[in-house]
Amino acid sequence: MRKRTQILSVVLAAAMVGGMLAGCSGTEKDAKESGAGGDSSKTTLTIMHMGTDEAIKNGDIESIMMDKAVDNFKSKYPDVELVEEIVSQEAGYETKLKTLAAANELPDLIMALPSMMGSFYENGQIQDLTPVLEANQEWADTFADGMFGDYTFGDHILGVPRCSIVNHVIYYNKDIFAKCGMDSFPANEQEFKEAVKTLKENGYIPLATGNKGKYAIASQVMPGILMKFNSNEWYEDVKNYNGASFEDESSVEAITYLKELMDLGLFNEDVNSLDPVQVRQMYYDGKAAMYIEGSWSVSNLINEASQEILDNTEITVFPPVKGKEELKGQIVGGQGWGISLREGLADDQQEAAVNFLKEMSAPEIQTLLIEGGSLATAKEVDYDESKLDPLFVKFLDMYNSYDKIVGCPEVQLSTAYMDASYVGYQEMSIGSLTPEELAAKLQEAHESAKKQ
Amino acid sequence: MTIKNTLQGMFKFVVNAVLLLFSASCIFPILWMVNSALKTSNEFMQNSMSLTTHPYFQNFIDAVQSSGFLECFLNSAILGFINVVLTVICALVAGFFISRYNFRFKKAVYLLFVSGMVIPMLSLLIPVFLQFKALGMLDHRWTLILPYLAFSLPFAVMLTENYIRTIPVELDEAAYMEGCSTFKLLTKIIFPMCSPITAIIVITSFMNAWNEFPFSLVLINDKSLRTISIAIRMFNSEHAINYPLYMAALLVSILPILIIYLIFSKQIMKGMTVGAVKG
Repeated sequence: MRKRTQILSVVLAAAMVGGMLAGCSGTEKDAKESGAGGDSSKTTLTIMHMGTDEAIKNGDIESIMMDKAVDNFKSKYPDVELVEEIVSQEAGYETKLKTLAAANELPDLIMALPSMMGSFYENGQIQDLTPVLEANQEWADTFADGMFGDYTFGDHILGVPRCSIVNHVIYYNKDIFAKCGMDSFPANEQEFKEAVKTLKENGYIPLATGNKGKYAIASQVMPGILMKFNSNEWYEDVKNYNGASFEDESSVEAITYLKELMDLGLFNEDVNSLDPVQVRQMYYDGKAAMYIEGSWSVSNLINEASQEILDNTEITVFPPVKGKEELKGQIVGGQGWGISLREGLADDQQEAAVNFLKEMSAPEIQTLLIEGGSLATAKEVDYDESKLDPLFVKFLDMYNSYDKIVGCPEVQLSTAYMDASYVGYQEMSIGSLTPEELAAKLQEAHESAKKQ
Repeated sequence: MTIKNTLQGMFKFVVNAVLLLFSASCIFPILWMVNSALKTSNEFMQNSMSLTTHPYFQNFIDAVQSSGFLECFLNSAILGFINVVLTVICALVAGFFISRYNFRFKKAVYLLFVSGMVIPMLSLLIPVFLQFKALGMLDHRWTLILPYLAFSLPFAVMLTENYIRTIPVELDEAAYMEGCSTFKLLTKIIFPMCSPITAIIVITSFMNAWNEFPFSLVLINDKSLRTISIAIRMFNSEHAINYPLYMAALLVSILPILIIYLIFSKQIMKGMTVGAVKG
């Protein structure tokens, strides 16, 4: 009797588990058949990006641009089913992307940072787009010079840019500077140091910064300073392991300069607990004399700041270093998040994916970018100057006054380096690392990527 | 006597003042959220600490109407409800048999359940994704039930096993002698006696499902199947956030937990003090 009950239990349990799995898998198959890949005559393409509805409503130009590109593609290529998965960065875009990569399940079109592209390519997960660009020379020629800089790894181009960015833009309130006895922005690093002291003494936050996500100091503040102390050639040598190192004197000098500024009270006290969006408010309230963020924030300021603040706002970057005036034409920028193609696409998918990339950089999108307050990727952009906001015009003037765009280490180097730098600068800001120790840590992380 | 009374009065006043300040510090973030949710975005960006002068209730409407919020809310509510029902049934049954019966591998079974509490959830993310992918279980309305049940059961089984052990076996024996079946013993005697811990299991398993984020992010692609924890974070993008709308959405999202807590609060208090005093 007992034995029969045991056998019956086992059989019932097995039937339950079996039924559950069959039920689940069956329904997923049904869902796929009726959903994404439902129409067998259509080519299906999957894309994962960050252009959420909320970001679009809030005027984020990079999200608006992706949305427009997707819409244009869908109407131009009705025979292609473009399945979007949209996850905001705060909702864990990177976590999801890395998990999918670890499981070798990346979507067909992937929005990724250059630092991720290198490892994806080494693992055979994304394509080298060089042959694609060579086969579509006319399209490739529409891009401005250096637009593939962030995505170039040796001889391989692993991504196509959505827009162009400047990693750090300093917005400063000229009225506050004038009240503190400064008629113009500091002309060199020593004057900048003095300005920080003066602003602090007058009760202002010198440079409002939101480092909660750890990237603000590492990928916006620091590269801006680093590239005023070091040449692009030095950086290329570091990047390509050609003898230069983050432990070189000029690099340590730059990190030490940042540490000195931190000790003078450059940042708001809660720098490590607020995000960039929260600290913008300090600038809007007139509590901060300067505010730093990437060039994408120009459109945010235009939408959010009061007219009085906008009228008093000027745009610049960190001043040159005395004795290193030859580097003053350098500005840190690049392309940031770009789009890569999954390795192993079927022929029809490959064609559709390339068409999407072309649509993403079409003239209409370039115009949208510029008129929305962002830098475009094309050599020539047709836009209506009267539609440009005065603040964006100031930004363009500033941008055009620089002649050399230098890459940002946190964007271009490995994820190991990026992680070390994110944590390292935060640790230095709370005094648990010296500049020399940080430089050694950065170099060690950079070297570790080479060994892999 | 009068001096003693005055001193006692002063002492009480100071103690109450300190407690009041402490309570205020706890309630302040919630009040700030409510105040912020009633501002317009521009008003908030100008001064985040100021009191709202013209309450802007539209934020709540916009939050609920924003793309997919209501759908995600319902998805989480359904998942939470199913998780609660399954966890309570499985935990009570498992807890009863582990505590009352001696069988081979009893300790191993108990250890297997309880070990779930020490395994970091994130370390399971990729293996579970691969497993679900292989079994074709991704992106389905019921996809998240199994992981949620698995995360809720260890604590629930431990709780029930410990609690049922404190119920005298004589009760079971008396019931059997009266001709009661095991099923009736469970449903009519043991389970009703477990109501204090059942309340705790209900709230913890609901919260597990309601707040869970990484598995929902990775196992679900379909926008219509997303959960509330994902929907909330969608309000927060890297470069642009409408904070008042975000706060309104957050306030709406904590309502179910609040309601469940209010319903079961008495039982929870009882559950927490169970076994504290033995007479």
